[in-house]
Amino acid sequence: MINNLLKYGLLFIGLTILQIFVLNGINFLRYATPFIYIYFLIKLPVGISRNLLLFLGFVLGFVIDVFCNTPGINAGASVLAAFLRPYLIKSLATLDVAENREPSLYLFGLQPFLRYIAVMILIHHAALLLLESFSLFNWQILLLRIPACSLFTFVLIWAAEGLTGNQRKR
Amino acid sequence: MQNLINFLIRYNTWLFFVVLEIVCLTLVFTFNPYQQSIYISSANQVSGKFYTAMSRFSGYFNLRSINEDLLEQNGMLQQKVLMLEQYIENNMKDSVNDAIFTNPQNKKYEFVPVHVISNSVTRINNYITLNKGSKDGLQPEMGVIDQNGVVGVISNVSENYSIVIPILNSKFRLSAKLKKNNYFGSLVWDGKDPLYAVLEELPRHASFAAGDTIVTSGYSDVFPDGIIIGTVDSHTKQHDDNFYAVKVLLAVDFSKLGNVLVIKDKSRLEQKALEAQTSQDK
Repeated sequence: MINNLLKYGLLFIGLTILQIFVLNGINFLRYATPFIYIYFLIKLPVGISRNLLLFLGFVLGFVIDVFCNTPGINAGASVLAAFLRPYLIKSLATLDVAENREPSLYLFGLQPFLRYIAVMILIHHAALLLLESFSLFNWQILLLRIPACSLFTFVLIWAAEGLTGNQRKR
Repeated sequence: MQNLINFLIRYNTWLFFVVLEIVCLTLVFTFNPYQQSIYISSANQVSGKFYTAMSRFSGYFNLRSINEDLLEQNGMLQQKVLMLEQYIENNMKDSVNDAIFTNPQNKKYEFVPVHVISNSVTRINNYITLNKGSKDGLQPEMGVIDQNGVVGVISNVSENYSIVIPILNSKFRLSAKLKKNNYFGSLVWDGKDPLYAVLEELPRHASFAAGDTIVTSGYSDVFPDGIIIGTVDSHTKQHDDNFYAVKVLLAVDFSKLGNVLVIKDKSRLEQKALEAQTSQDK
């Protein structure tokens, strides 16, 4: 339990710092910015209480918002992703949902896990970029940005997953 | 009553979700950068400290190019000073106006050098955080420039930090004009490219060519007249066909801002008071 608390605490802090100070400055080909902090929501244990999941999603997004001067935008997108997560897991993986383990390649199997990450990222990014573009709507840019950012985030998360997965095998 | 409580217990997750989303959406839609609470912004004590610490490292990255810019600027200024000195000397003997140059009260503007501690160019609404605030006399609606040209306007100030709305923000709007013939329009950002902004509402009969300089008009009290914003890149007709929309290549490279200057206008309070008085008289 305490082990988990420490692990997820570090993950939270690490991801927010990475997001705020490094990734927010990246604008690959002027369209793609990765939002890797969603990885925290992806990795929370499968059996986590849904209210706690929502609350953590809100806190995570809000911290990012404070640093980026975008009140509500990141928080709204994270809460939506956190809300849809249990349904997504239920529909993708045939496993005991009460299980208190973190989502991983082992637990889900390759295809469902890939789909799980991809859909989480898509939900979050679509909501985030849509909310952001309310002040200046330009659907061409929006249509370009959602897949571009999602792809970028997906690559980064898959890389992070590869790194941590290998560690566990040893 | 019992049913209601049962309903609430049964759907507590849904309820919690809806409440959180309402909080978020309220934040999104009531957000006004000019009335923003300092606590939920990058100018609060915690995030300000974080950004200050990080900028100590990242501040070194662009030093070489910033140095080159400064040297160039320095050279130009030196030239200007020489020219002005010569001008004063030539006109000294017969001019009554030399008081203009020596009277300290005519130093209308004061420039405060500050350091950028956080900055973004990737969003639709970008913001810059500076490492000085009300303690150093900064106030909302002061103009910010760097050695190349206009950066933005201060929107919010805490004791030690302040937030700037740069040109690269959909909420930014600035009156600007063509330097050579004073036709003016209003400068906005279309959210597409951090290198370009758009000068809208330029009259159709205004003549200009690619490469012409765009400067501040001086109609607002935020920037003095004639500070460089950028150069004309290309133009299109606006939807109602009576105005041009000009694509402007910005003079400032927002992706490598390091040190900027805040313009303190000493006569501004006076102007404000006068304007307030006039509107009361009406």
